[in-house]
Parts: sequence; structure tokens; C-alpha cells
Amino acid sequence: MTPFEKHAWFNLVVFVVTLIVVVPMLFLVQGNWYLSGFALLGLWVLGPVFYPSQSLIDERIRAIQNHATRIAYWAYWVLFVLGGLAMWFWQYRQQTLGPTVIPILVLGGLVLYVLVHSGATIILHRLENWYAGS
Amino acid sequence: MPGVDLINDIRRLRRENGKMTQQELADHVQVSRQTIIALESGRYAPSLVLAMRIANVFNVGVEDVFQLADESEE
Repeated sequence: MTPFEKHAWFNLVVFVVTLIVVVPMLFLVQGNWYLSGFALLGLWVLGPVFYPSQSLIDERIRAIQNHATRIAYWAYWVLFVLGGLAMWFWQYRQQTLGPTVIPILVLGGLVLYVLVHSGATIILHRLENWYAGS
Repeated sequence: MPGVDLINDIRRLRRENGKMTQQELADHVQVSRQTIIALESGRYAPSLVLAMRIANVFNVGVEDVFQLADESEE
């Protein structure tokens, strides 16, 4: 398993753990404090741990990773555009967008980017190794 | 990565060079074994640098290892 795959699995595990923490808080915590559970996503900052200096990352692995990045960026951009349109349709009667719209779009898009990137990384590596017959 | 129009003789050259394993070749040119497998199966076209490193391992020219598929049919 390449460092990129380990990193991708770590990102997905952190996201699942975050959901496991946040969902019960929806019912147990008053107000919007359940949102604080999303702070667990900050664990994603530990990603560099998966890239020790002696790790072997060759040009083919980088090519696969570039492919995953393009897919994730495409997903982010689609969400950002469609999300912006949806917010506009939803709030257009108010003439102005609320102050939370842009942060939600950016943060939601960033989470989506990490999830799509991680999923694409795992799937593309598996596919390439399968095609190569290893 | 789609299939590429580049064929190679890496497998034959490995056998002619003391039955070198894929892992040994991978170690020589500093890539993963999966990359050697992808190269041999025609799933991946290497960079010029990697192609030259592989050719150097076998002491042959790059064109002796890699050929364009349409040129080899002529």
C-alpha cells in the first residue's frame, strides 16, 4: 500500500468517526453545539505522517495521484457552482445571501474534496494494480 | 491510465540478464514493483528518465527496450 493510499484511508476513517460523534450530538446537545463535533476533521492535518522521507513514490504513483486530484477538483467545482445556484434560488427573495452561505459552501466543498480525493485515490490504485495483474 | 502505444522488451531483457526479478529491476531504477508490472503489461508509458534508467540497467539503448507499436509492425 502506497503512502497515498494510507493517507486516503486515514482521511475516510476520520470522517466516519466524526459522523459517529456528531450524529448522537444532534439529539443530545442543545442549540448548534453539535457542530463542534466537526472539529474532529482537524485530525486531517496529521496527513504528512504518512509520507516518511524514505517512502517510495515513483512517477506512476504520482500520475495516479494527479488523476485523483483532477477528479476531486471537478467534484469540488461542481458542488460549488450547483451549491451557489441552489442557495441563490433558496434565498433570492431575501435579495441578499446570508453571511453563512459562503463559509458553508467553501467548507462543505473542502470536505467533499478530501472525501472524493481519498475515495478516488483508493479506487484508482486498486484499478491500476488490478489491470496490471499484480 | 489507458493502454499506451508503446511496447517494450523488459520481460525478455530481464530473462536474458540472469533471470532478474521484477523487484530487482524496480530496486535498480527506484520505482515500485507494481510500476514494473504496469510497464511490462503495457499499461503505463514511462518518462524519458525512467526509460533511460531501465535501458542503462540492461546496457542497451532506449530504442532496444521501447518501441512504438506501429513502428514494430512495419
